[in-house]
Amino acid sequence: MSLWQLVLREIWHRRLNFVAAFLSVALAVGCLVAAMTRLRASERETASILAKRQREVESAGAELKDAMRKITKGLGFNILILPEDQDLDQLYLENSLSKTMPEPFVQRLAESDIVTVNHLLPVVLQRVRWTEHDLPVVVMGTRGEVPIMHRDPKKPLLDLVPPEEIILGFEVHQRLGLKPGDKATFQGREFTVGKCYPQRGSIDDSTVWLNLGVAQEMFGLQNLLHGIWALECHCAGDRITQIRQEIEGILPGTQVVERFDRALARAEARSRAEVTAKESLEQETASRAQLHAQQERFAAMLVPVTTVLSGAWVALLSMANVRRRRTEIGLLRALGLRTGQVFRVFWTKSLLVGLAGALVGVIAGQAIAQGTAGATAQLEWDIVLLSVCFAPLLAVAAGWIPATLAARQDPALILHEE
Amino acid sequence: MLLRVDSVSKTYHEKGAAVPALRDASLEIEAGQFVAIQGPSGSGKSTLLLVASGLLAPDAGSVLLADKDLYRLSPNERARLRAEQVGFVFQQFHLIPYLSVLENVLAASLAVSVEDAGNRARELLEKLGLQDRLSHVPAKLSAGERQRVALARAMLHNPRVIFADEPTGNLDAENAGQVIGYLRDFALKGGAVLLVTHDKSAASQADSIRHMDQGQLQPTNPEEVPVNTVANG
Ligand SMILES: Nc1ncnc2c1ncn2[C@@H]1O[C@H](COP(=O)(O)OP(=O)(O)OP(=O)(O)O)[C@@H](O)[C@H]1O
Ligand SMILES: [Mg+2]
Repeated sequence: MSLWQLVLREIWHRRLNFVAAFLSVALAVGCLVAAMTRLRASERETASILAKRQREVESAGAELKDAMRKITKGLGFNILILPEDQDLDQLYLENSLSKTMPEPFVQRLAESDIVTVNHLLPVVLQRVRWTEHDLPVVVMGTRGEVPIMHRDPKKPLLDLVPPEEIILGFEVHQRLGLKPGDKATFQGREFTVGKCYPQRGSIDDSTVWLNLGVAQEMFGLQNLLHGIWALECHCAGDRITQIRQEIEGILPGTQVVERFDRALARAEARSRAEVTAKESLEQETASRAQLHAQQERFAAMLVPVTTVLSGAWVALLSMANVRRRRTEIGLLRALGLRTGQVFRVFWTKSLLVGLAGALVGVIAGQAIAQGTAGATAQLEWDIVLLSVCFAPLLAVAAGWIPATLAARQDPALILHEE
Repeated sequence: MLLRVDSVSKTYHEKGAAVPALRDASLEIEAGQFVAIQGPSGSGKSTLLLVASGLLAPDAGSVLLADKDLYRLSPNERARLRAEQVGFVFQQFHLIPYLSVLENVLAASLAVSVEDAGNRARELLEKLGLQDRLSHVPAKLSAGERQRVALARAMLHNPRVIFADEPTGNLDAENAGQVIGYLRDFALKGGAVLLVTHDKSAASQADSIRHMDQGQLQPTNPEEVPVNTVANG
């Protein structure tokens, strides 16, 4: 016979009392575990939601870049590199150019380590009358983009025009009733219609595109260019001065013109997209933080309240248990148990109440957390450990005074108690 | 001398009123002696038993048990002495309700280690005719059986003295006779017994009978003193 056995027998004998005590501890532990586990789960959920949002923003950014590339393609190139002596009035009023630069310039630019521009397009641009149809058109001769050597090749903005093909802007093919595959004679030469562009609402609609070599030959400009069309880099920070400096160093005797409207549209689109994405991320972050704070406040209220209530309940039950066992305590003292041993009988019981409460509370709290927060509520070992320590402490603290009273009880009442 | 109660006095203070329970009471018991105390209700018999057994400190006087001055010992030393040297039998039995008969007897080994306690408990219970009731709880037993369990508990650890307060108070004549018989046997084997009782026939089994009145032990009445009694002066 040991004190342990005595305690266990008594617990079994008054099991309802024990169940009532440890369930209240379990309630407190359950609230603690559920609240903390839920907090953790929501933190984890927040992290994953924000990461997802971040990825979304990034992929939206990438999509946007792509979309912008397409938009820019519609807008056209926004950097024009022209001979220094080219009169810009001619370009703006007639959509035509007359001054030239050597064709190898484009190669030189491509082979340089230029970083401020992209997508180099050697161009011959001439306004002519389509003699066969008596139709004024702008002819743009290009041979496709020249890749910048030190960079990864980019998807070309403009399709290469094969020598035997002619590509028509909207107004041109509408007026002449031409479709892709039709034969067309242009300035005495036979071409096949390669593409018919949809309406762009710009000078493109009155433009025909030819292969660069064909155009050079047609206008007597072998090995010469009217200019190089380029696209400014994102990385350049939309700084035209920098671009000018760089190009001047590589191609002396040229002037650089930025088409402002297009540059602005690019920059705006980009920053707007960025702002929107950032805002949505910030909003999400703020709302998650708010939710978290709310849960934290709830836990901060729930846990102490249940702890106090459960502690008070355990203390009451312990007190009732001690009162009920007065003669038993007297007997134990008569049998020679020391006050410390009597204290231990009640202390051990409190400890068991706490341990049972911890066990049931952890399981119940976990179940509640998982039931309300789903799979994100994982088993948090540190919280479990905390509860396994916290519950017995709570129970032992609550049972401390009753156990002390039991130990201090006057042993003499054994003969005076009925 | 196994137990010497020397001029003890005890006054209870209950709600401002002083209730004198013992006045200058003295008593000596030797090993093998069976002493009975008789007296009217409220005369202080139970109080004397508590003081003599180390459960209640007197206001004055001393108690020597096995040559130790009980109330000069620390509470823990006193508890230890009780665990080793003393057995109790009560009118209300005071069996622990949630322990079986065997466990109730073994409860006497909670505070002191008893050699081969299990077998000893079984032997005692067999002697007391309870060998078939070992696993029963007290609620299932008759009053006489309960008191016999209490007797076994009081004897498990081979105490040198048994204090019995009205052990036959709740028993019929037959059971009462049995219980007193066992106490008698205990004394015959060298144990000391201090019995408080109203029961004349129970008291008549004792080696000596002391009367108590208003907290005072009367001098021994020679007519009632059996042959081998050591009288108290
Ligand atoms: N704890 C106590 N507080 C106050 N008074 C007490 C206490 N215990 C006993 N008394 C009083 O002390 C006196 C002696 O009581 P005690 O129990 O010793 O008498 P008793 O001889 O055992 O009586 P009974 O035969 O009825 O058991 C009584 O007057 C009783 O009322
Ligand atoms: Mg009494």
